[in-house]
Amino acid sequence: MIPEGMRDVLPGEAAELYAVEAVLRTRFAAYGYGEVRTPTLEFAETLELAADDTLGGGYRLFDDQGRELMLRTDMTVPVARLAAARCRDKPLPLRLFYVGGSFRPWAPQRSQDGEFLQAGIELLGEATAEADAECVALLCDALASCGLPEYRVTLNTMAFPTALVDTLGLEADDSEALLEALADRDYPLLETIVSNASDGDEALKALQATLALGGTRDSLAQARKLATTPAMEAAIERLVRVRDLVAESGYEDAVTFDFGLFQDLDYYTGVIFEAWAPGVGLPVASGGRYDELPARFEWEVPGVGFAIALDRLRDALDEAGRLPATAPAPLAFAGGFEEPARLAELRRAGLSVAALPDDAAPPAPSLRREGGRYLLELADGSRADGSWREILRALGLG
Amino acid sequence: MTLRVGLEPQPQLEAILGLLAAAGLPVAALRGLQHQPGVVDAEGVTWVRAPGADLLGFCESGVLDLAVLGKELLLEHEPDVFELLDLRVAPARLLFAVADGVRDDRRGRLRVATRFPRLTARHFAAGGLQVQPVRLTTAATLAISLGLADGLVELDTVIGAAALSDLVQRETVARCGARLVAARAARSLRGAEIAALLARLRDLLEHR
Repeated sequence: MIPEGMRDVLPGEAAELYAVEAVLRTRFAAYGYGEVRTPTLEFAETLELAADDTLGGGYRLFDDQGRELMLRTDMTVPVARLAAARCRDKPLPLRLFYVGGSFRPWAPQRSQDGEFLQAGIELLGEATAEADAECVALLCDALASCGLPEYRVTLNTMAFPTALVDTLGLEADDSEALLEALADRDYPLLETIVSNASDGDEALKALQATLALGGTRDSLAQARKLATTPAMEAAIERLVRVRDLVAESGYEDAVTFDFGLFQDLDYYTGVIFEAWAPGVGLPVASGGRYDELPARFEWEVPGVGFAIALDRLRDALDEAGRLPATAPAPLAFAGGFEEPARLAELRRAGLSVAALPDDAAPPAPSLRREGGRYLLELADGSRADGSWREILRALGLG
Repeated sequence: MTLRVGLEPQPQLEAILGLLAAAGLPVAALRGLQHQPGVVDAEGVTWVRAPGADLLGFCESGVLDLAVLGKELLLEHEPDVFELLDLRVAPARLLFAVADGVRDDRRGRLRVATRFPRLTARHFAAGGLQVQPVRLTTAATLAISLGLADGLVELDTVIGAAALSDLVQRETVARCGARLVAARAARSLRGAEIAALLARLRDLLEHR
């Protein structure tokens, strides 16, 4: 028995996950990111510094001194803690990446496993659109390098809802209701709230048009028309700049916009984005700018980053028939236990060999000792029969 | 890939199909087989007919792009989907009604039969009457006739005029009707197709 929401990973899938992780590590390193590892357990008060209700709690326990600990609920907060504690004197920007598991209470209604694997990056100390664009381009690069054929990275900015509320001149209660409707993606309710506002009609039309164009490139142009305040114009210009830079990096086709995109976590402050792939109901990756998070660890630097959900990426690759090739099955050597020198010879030559006792009858690919001779049967059905020297030749090692 | 659209069986399905047809969707293949769950392929659209709660699950798993279903299900399940448009067809009121003769002070809690226990609990948690939702999968009126419940929370269209006349209507819990919802995945991956359909539907509704 294992607790609900936890799972085991067997060799075939583990090899696939490892192959995907290897590609991601290579791509993150290619942009100058260095890997960090943080402890699985943190003090609860550390994670609570950055979290709110929307992080959905976590697994809590006490240490032998009665202090409250938590299994990390994501990687961004621990990495921000690590950076603030250990990297203050390093030159900025700081580029860090991680691959690891995080833990949250099992929530099947939200397809949330108790433990989930993430690979992601954090770019700290750079507040520019160029930094946003680097993250988006790196995400596209990473997904494309894994072989994901059809994916989209959808962009928005958290400045949009805030600016929108200001534009409409709503009462405080209505503003709150409007943000809630936007977060709940309840557009009929949103329209009702806006049409009750002072100059409702014009704003309603523009808002409808903007939200209706979610997931299209046109929505950016539409949102520009809606921009009537400097704050909103700045937010849109920032997205335009990010899009242009990502396009110059060669990922123009992968990027789209959705002004209905909304991140629940309250630590996002600027550009936000999600990556989607066919056949997977939840985003394969998500991220954004979180300029106020490091300050909660008393280090005033801006930050932007993303996390790829490895299980979902693996599922998306599976759906597309693009799972990475994993190592072939090892050669099973019946009688290998009795011949350590020959086992060693094969392994030195680069073969994977699993030793078995003399009387084993393993499926192909297999090597069996019979008297002084050897029988080789490969996975493709080909056979060889003869002396050790002849077997080595048949294996291409002679 | 075809656009995958979910429809739930419901009394006013014909009105919904009429609207979808006017917006250019191929509904002809659906006529005459409105109640069995199943998959029907028409030109450019894969129709999936299943109970609304299942359709929401399909949207959340990314195997459906769009669905048309009742607002009451969105209130009950609070699914992670985009609620794009009120189609202004199949309007219904979600009613709280009690059996004739039931008084609030009769016991500690009123037992309320409903297909929407979460919604019901949430609605009454805010204050006023204390109720105990009794979860059912079909006609809540049966629970009242059997004495299992004192009242119900159900759509007026499902209760029916005859049964409703035997009950005392207490409150409209919510105004419901058919809504167009989109899966989060579809919103990002098929944004242009969905935007085009949405524009056609909005246009139709404005010129009604």
